[in-house]
Amino acid sequence: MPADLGAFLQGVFDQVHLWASQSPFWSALFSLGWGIVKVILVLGFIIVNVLVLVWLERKFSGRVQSRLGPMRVGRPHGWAQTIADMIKLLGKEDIVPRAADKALFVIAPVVIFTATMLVYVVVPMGPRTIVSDLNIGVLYLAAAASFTVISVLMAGWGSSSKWSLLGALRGAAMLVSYEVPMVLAVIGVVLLSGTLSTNAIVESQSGLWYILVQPIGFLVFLAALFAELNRVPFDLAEAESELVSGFNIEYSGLRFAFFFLAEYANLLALSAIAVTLYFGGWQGPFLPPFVWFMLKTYGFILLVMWIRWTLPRVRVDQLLEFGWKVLLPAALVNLAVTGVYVLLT
Amino acid sequence: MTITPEFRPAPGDLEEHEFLVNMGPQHPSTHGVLRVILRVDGERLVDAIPDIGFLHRCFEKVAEGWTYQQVVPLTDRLDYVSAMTNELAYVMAVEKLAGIEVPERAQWLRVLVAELQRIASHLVWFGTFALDLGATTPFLYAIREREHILDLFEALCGARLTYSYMRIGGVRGDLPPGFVGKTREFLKLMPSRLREYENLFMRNRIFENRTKGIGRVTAEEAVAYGASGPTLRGSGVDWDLRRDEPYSAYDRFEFGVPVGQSGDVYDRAVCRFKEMYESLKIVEQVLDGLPEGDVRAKVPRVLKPPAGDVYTRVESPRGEVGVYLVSDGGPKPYRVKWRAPSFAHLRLLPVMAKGHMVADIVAIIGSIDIILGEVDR
Amino acid sequence: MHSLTSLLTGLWSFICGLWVTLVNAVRPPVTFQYPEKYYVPLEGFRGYPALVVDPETRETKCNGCQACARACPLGVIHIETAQREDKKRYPVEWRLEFGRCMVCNLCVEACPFGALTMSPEYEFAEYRPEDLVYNLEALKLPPEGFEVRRLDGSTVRTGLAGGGRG
Repeated sequence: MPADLGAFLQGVFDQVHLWASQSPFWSALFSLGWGIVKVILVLGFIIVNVLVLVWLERKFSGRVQSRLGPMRVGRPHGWAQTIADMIKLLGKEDIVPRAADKALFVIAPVVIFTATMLVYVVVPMGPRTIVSDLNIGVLYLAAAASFTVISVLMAGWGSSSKWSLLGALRGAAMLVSYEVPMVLAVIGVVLLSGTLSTNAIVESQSGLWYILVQPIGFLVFLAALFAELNRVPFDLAEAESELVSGFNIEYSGLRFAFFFLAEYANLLALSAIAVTLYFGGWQGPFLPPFVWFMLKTYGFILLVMWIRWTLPRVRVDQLLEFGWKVLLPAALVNLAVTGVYVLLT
Repeated sequence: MTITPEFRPAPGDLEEHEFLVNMGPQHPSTHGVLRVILRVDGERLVDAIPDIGFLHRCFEKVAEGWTYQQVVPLTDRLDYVSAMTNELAYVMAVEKLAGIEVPERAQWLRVLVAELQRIASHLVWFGTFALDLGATTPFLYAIREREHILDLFEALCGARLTYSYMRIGGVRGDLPPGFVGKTREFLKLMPSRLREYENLFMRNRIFENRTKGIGRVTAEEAVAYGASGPTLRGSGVDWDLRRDEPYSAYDRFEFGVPVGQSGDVYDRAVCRFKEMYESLKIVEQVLDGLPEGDVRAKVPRVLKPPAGDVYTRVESPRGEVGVYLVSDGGPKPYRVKWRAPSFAHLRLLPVMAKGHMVADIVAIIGSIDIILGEVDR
Repeated sequence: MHSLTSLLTGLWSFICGLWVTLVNAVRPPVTFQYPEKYYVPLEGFRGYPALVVDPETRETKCNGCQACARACPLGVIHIETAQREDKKRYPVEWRLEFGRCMVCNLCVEACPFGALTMSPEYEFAEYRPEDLVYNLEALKLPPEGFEVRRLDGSTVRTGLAGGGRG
């Protein structure tokens, strides 16, 4: 049945595309319409998965901590808890501090969510299921991932609070310093696969997953991932920063919901990228590619959560020291070794 | 530098590049309602001034209006995480003043509950300390293990936090049926769980990086400021009231006393953690040799100790708890002065915090293990 | 600070921690859902002071000697008595301001007749502070008693006649 449905939809799509290519106006309109459909699909995918992810985090942390987690909202195991929380956040008063830079304060949540959505453009969920198979996929990824820094700074400055600003500055310092080792680690994968396109990287792992040949690169990438995601052990932008709650302290209601949503959407996006680069993406026998993709992504997310609920937080100067003095040399060594290997074969 | 109640420094007191951060009474990482005013120069702490009194409940004044027996449940509420040692300190003071002899079985039971209480209190310390440093999970594990001890206390005296178990002349009641068996089960379970916590948290590299070298206190400073308990032992001073000035039945038992070396947060934390193992040993020895007999001496209904004064001290999980009791011959105490260890340790805060970064203050406060109930009384 | 051995031992400490978390994740949870499943307190749990009653006559053993009222540190017990034909005193009014009671057990220990005990009830929240003042009828132990458990795992019903441990 799914195969037929896919073929049917493909047939419809091809027909419309053919019909639209008759005139430049219609074909432009078609491209625009198709783009909007893709955005809506991605948005739907994100929202459904974020609802599941928040619930999963709470349930998983409960399991690890010998307790039950949400149980009441939605009788079997509180599956509707996130929906209830979102409704609660939507119903809160919209407070903007009087001295706040209103434009920045209002735009920051939107920017962070957009930045997160941008990553989904190059996430391959199947052999031809990708929003846009850019042939500079990895380069685009590095660029899009840096967007979150801007929104953190906007939120920190726009809140007009001393501690919010300092938290945002620290968060920005962390994000920026950990992007360098992350990109260097990814370049190791790029060297092995010989292409920047994410779909091609997945296809080139049909024989061997890159995690097996890039263990150090993966560890560097994993450490940088925690910094990019703002999760323990690197969550100082949010939690302890200057003794208060961090850069999103002045946000409430829907704006806070945006930050919250963006955090989990980011988790999903970067986990999907990790799976794409190191674990063979949608490749796998017997099951449809999309199912493999989801299984692997959620497996990786469980690993991220497992680490989060085990480790304590790192202090900010130790974090920066670790990023520049340990991760960067390790990524460079990894790159050198990979480069030599590729040169010799 | 003086801080006015409106949280402003006097003019001319603050250097130009310094500013004040208020770590207010409501804060997730101060253990109770403690306000710490931090004087910060960029990232570095210049001074950390504790501001206390938010939990003052006039214990010493109220105690002057109640009879000796009635004050016992009041002492529960001072250091509420470790209520048994508070009661012990007080009843020992009254017994010393009135010359009451406590039966042997009661002394052993007192040691038993005091040591179980020590484990429970250190578990709370461990959980909250890990929570302050960002690891949420050890807190849940510590609370889970503490449930066993609280169940034992619930069966013993009916309450889980404010026990009202000690009485002048002994303890309130004997062990209920099944208590010894359940305690032995707990003794078998606990060492493996403690080793789990070591693997999860105490041996964690991030924890070591955040606590080694932080908040150093030299032995001379610690003694000069009146530190006691693990705060003192972390600096290398080998002093434990249970071993060096034994009270109750402590001279019958063999146990080790962990001592640190450098007086930093890490050493204090490790001292406290290792004390849990030693307390387990003591509980086992008590259960093995518990003598028969009464659990309460005959004490007149209205107790009137002869006029005089006495100072007794016990080793609570936090340090030396002292009671200075003055009697005027009447049925109510003339003066009950409570010496709280956390009060003295708070004075060490500026000494420990100087030169460190703002992010370290949380680890430092956690390592002192303060309970505001006894600081403010 | 960052020699290779130090990095490897650091990584090993993380792996040990992850193992502990994993081991605990497969243990069953220790919490349960409270209102659906009632927490059965242990025998001797101090809930609120209650009057022991004779199972048939529902009369208390109290004769109004005020020992408990005097023993109470907070003075929350108020008793008024009257005399019967056979000169025995009995309480006409027996009031306990439970909102201020600290459940210290001193009243139970002071009673020379064993008329007081601690009932293991803990669900006594009220909407108004006035409802927390208990009178004579409310303080009498209910005939069905309370379910409590013992450390060996058995459950018993207590408070039926002689009362719990004082």
